[in-house]
Amino acid sequence: MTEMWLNMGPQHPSTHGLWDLLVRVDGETIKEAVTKIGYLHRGVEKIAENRIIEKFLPLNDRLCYVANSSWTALFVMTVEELLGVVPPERAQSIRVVLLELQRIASHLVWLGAYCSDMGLLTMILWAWRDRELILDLFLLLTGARITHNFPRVGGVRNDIPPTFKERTLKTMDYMDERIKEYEMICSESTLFVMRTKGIGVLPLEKAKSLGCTGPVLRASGMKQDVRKDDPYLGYDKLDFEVPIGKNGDAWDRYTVRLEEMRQSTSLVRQALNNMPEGDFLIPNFKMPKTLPARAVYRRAEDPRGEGAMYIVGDGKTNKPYRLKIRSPTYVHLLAIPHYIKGARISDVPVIMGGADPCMAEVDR
Amino acid sequence: MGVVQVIGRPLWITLKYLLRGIRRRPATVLYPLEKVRLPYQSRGLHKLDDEKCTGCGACSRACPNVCIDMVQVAEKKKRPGIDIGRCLFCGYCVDVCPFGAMHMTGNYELAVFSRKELLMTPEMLMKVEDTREGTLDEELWKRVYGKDEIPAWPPLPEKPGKGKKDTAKKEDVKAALPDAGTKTEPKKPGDGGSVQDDDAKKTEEKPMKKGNEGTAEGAK
Amino acid sequence: MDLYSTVHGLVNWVVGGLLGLLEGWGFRGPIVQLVIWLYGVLEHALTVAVVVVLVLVIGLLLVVVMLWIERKLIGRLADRRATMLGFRGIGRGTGFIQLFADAIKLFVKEDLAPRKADKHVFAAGPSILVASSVLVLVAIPMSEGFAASNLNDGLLFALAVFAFAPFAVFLSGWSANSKYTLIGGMRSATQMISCEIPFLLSTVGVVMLSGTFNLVDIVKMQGDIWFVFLQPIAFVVYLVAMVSEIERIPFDLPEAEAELVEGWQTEYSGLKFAFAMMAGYIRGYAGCALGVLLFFGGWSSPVPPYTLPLPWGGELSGPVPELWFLIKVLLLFMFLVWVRAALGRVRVDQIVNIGWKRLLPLALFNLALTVAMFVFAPDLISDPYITGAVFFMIPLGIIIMFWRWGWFK
Repeated sequence: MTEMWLNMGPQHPSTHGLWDLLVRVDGETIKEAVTKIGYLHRGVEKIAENRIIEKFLPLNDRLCYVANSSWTALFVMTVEELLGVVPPERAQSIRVVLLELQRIASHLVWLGAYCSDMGLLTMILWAWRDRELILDLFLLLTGARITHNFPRVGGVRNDIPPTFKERTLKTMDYMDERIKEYEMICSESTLFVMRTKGIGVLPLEKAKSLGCTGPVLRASGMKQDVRKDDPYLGYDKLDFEVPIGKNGDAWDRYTVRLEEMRQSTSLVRQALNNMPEGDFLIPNFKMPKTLPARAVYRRAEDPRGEGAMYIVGDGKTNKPYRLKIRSPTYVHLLAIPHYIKGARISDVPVIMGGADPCMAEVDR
Repeated sequence: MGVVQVIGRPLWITLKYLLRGIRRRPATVLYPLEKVRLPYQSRGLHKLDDEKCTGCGACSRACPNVCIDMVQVAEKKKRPGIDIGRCLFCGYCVDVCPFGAMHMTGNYELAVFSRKELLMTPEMLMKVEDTREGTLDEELWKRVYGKDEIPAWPPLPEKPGKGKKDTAKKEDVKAALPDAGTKTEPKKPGDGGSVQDDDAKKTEEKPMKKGNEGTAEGAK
Repeated sequence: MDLYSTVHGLVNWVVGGLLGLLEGWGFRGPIVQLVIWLYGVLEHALTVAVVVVLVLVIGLLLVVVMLWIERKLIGRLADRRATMLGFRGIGRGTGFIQLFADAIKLFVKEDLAPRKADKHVFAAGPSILVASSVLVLVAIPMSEGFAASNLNDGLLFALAVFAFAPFAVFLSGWSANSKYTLIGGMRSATQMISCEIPFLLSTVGVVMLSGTFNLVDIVKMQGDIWFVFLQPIAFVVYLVAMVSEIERIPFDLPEAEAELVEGWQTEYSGLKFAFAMMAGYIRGYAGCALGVLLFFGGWSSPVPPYTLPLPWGGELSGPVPELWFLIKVLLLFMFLVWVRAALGRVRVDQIVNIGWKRLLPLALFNLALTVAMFVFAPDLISDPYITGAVFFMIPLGIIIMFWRWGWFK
């Protein structure tokens, strides 16, 4: 009778965000786990039913406080597909730059929090120091550091400012050196390897059946990336690789995300150097008075996995009839109890961190 | 021997940062003694230009959070007042203003002691200063992040003349730079039809009035 | 400087002054006789009390210095400036005021206890912790005369009392009636059990080389060569086991912040939490001081003797041994802070692994090596250079190996 239910609860330093993981432990080994979410529910999908499209755009930035523009860009792409509008090439290229910078920033946040949960206190400071540079790039491009409000239906809000390109290229060079340093303190540190190798193994069949996507699925060995399978925004013309892991443990999830950061720097360079001339917004574009009576499902590669939006317009008003947001972390968090059995309490932050929780998109 | 192998590399890289921090400054900005200068696109507190504003109310209709209220400041003269507590600094009011009367400065130090001070009346908005100075700009980035010159933020645009429609906001900036005249003129997003105006006028959802929070009388 | 005789002189002077005052006020006869008789009985006890209080105050002041060093150094290793709140204002000072501000904040906080917690054990936990940590300071000499007591088996006493604290952690973890603290307390017991034996065994080599448990004599025996060169393996084992005993990163599982919110310290607030934090640093000082005494030659200094004339007459004959002792202790502590900044935390089963499978065989191997050297080549032991050369080859070999592997880029 040494078993007890431990509540790694809503107020906890290592569950980033508000969610609850109830574990039944015997000493230090976990026998069973239950996830509880919903503490941050704000009714975003219901709000979308009462707003016109432009007034709903700023709210997409708040759908994930770490990777904002990926959700706004996804929403704008969904609406454009609904209306049958294609943004100009320059706008697509600018959006690619924004999304890949956002991916680097999101992975830096993840890296800092992941390492600080394991006791590596300096890593969080280094990761967030480098994120400051990327937030300064956002400040230059869009006007705000985190809540960009940048993509618009038919393009983007404004063109690239004059010194943005040089600054970004220099920052990408700087980021390449820093990624080597992160490897020095994390990958080549035997303590880190001891903490993450063989922990939280998620076999490929189980990952596929649970619905995991993104880095979690790629770490288990499957080469799946929406940017390659279902290209959007001109990703099929850009040259990058998709990293995969072998075993599906926490170490593989770490290496996959680190490699993704490197690929993103090269993507940003390609997009900036080959940016076509043209408009950044469709000229004289007016939103129609009513949305067409169709339903569109559009997916994109969020830094956390495959995010998707499903919008249904009725032919009478200019507000959507239904907006459904598919959040990748929602699936990952609810899949955790299936592969956490047998781990120890010390492994819980490592496993939870591997799913990269950002609660605002889980609870919406 | 295993102990040294376990801890060698992380110790080395942290020591490098310690030594680097002695030669050049660490990556800390000692706010409030040092502030970083912001570029011209940064979205902070709004600034109202009294001569250009005609009281059309486009900003009020475009605001997603319904924080702008048109206040009667004189006989037949309405000006917008903003509730900073509800504002999400999205920049729609700036984008949609046809006369270029609404700007966003880089002022981000907006903490106040009571909620009443968050309601900015039009008079307060007119007096906002565009403080985009900082004491620490490129020196920090040059010394911390590399020996090359990081290009500076682009300069602030010149103020357009009185009474004119502000169509030349971005053209002014481009003309002031060395590589002017090489790119096509971009369109202002507000030129592409005031989409927010049309829809907002015709929709049956009127933005809710804020209630008598003091701005109707023009007093705090 | 002999602490006991100095304090004795001081107490004599104070009591003499008090007597003179009494006589000046007109008390004569039986009251003065009473005071003199009382002083004759209590003289020794009074001196010892003042000596002990002095050592305690020095220990607490050192805690402040060590806290400051830790915060600034961790900040600088992580490429930032830390605690800039100083005497000249925010952002301009050195950061000392931050520590006093922290102490004041902890003092004025409310003292809570969970409702169903065992009140007496809950309150006694931090007290036992601090008491046992401060008791170690009694046995540590800072120089030949500057010691609260020069016990003949000072090393044994220090190690025994040092090992008392995990017991207090275990008690306080269990008594708080909370699952987090229970797990923290259990982890602390596990950690202590697995790392205690290597901790003790690593000092046996030093005892064999010097032939005594008396700490002052051990330092005197290191006159020619420091024991760290004669016993490098023992030093490494001692360092790892000490870090595990004082519960710092990489071995701070009992208070692992990410998993158990502050572990066994979760339910403590206010003064009890201040005690827990302070005890950690006092034990850190005690462990580093023991390490310096055993391995780094105590208070020996590289500076030859000198005399400096003081401005108010008299002269200062240096080097000051207490100062050099403190410098060495703080340098060793800075190494521990460096390790804290660079490494992560280990798991519970990994620390049991480390304690039993890595540290214990190493300590036994070192012991066997020392015994072998004593038995087969006793002359070599007394020749420090040959012994040092043999024992020093190992770390040198490691460094050369890593240099060949291209680590130092």
